[in-house]
Amino acid sequence: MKQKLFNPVFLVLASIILPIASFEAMVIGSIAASDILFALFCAVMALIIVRK
Amino acid sequence: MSDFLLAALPIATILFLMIKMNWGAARAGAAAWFVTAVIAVFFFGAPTDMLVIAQAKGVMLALYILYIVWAALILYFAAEEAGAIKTIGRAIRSLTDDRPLQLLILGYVFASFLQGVAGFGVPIAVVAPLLLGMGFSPVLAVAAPMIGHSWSVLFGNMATSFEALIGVTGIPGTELTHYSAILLGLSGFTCGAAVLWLDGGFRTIRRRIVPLVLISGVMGVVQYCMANYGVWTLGGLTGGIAGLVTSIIVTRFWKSHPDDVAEQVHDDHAHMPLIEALTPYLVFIVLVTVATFAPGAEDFLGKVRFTLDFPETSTSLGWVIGAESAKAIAIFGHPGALLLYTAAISFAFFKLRGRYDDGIGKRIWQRTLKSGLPTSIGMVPVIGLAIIMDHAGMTYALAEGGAAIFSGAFAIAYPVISPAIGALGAFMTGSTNNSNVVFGMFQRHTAELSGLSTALILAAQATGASLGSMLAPSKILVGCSTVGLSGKEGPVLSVVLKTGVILTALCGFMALGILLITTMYGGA
Repeated sequence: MKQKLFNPVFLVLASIILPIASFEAMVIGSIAASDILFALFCAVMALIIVRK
Repeated sequence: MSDFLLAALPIATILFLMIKMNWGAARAGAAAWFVTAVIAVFFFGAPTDMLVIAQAKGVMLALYILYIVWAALILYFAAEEAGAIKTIGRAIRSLTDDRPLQLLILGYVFASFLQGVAGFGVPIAVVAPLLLGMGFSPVLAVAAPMIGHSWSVLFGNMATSFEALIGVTGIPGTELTHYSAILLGLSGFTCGAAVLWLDGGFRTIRRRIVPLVLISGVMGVVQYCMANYGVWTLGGLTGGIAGLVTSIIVTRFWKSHPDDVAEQVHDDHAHMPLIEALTPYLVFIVLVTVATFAPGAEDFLGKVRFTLDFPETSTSLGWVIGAESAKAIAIFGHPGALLLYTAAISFAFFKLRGRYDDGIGKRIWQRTLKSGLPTSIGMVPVIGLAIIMDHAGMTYALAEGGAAIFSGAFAIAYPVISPAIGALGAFMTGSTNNSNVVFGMFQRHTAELSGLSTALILAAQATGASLGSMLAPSKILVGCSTVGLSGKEGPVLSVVLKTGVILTALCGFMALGILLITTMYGGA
């Protein structure tokens, strides 16, 4: 699980998809979904920091 | 003043983490992204909606650039695996037996050409082992291409850094090319001189001033013409090719100095014809020319586009960013798509010529992944933080602080400082592209508030960022690893740092000179 989370392909794809998905959710008025997706993006940023 | 200090904190964070803590650009960028988000929300009144919108804009810009990055890497490895890059390097080596001229052609001209083709440390990774094999010291073998290629970074590699500057500042490329190409052309000469200086000081420069002026002059003029003709994506590549052609002509007439005759290096490997090795790049030039100039081609290739429309955002402090669309990505007409077509044609060509071993597809893909992933991980946080800073008014607060220092009588001094800021950005983020993203808007605001030519200041920023790429820690690591200097990067950094500071300062004075001349002749 840890290896999958720090996998560079996962980090790149997640950091690209999550903000766009969050924005699209905001556009269609689903604020809760938008917030959750953006929180996940923040978690990906945290993973990049922790990854050595 | 407190706004200025708070706005400077993300940049200080990246600097501290990369220089003091030895963190990579991706980690430091992600940490600075959090710092930016917290300051934007709690001190600049940015709502969370604005963070989402700014980050989505950042991803769109990152996608635009990453499309080129990945396609360029695939093309480079397709050519490299076939032996094309080695053939081009060998051909250059056989041009002359004048040692400093060999250094100039490989470490400056060939490195600039490679920057036009691939970038991302490729010029150093390719040229450093070639120079080492020719008997140059390991430190010189790494330092020469690092310094020599730096001037061509802005318009090299399909001008991704320049596209990023256009995307972030919102100023059309046609308004920025004039001063950028002039400053880069002049810096190209100083970079070439610095490469010669590494191998014997000013005496070496004096003895080869004619080839240096001819080669750097042709490269600079060709790049200027391409950039100002609207095809800046080919500026670095065509400048590099023109430099190689000029080098071939110059070496026909150049007699080497008796003190500087190089030892012959024997090479028993089977050779590929030079024209075959150059095929991928000739195909690429043809494709770009057709896509740019053939009637209807641009419209046809640009039919399928990916873009997003963003609403207006505002902070509680009243900083407003109007509604706008993201930079559209034409899936089949984007520069990255043209690189992919070239890669496919080149791959088929070399495959038919029997230049590949078994398992070539897997090998190219693995090497592309290994090189492209670290760059890609860093791209999203660094671009994201720059756009959040802009949308929260933090970049403007930085610019206001800068303009307060460089206002009135001191405004004239700003062009000298501007390239240093660009170089600092390239050093701290590890790329010219990221420097332009982080500091592009700051430089634009500072220029506007100081009443200076925005085009000139952004050109100085872009040129400084281009030169500063020679200081990128990741490139030093790449170069040192190819010549057996891993873990002993200090001497290379020392040489490159001293040279980089001098070249950036010279660029600043050239920008000041241009400002004074344009002011004298009726405005910039």
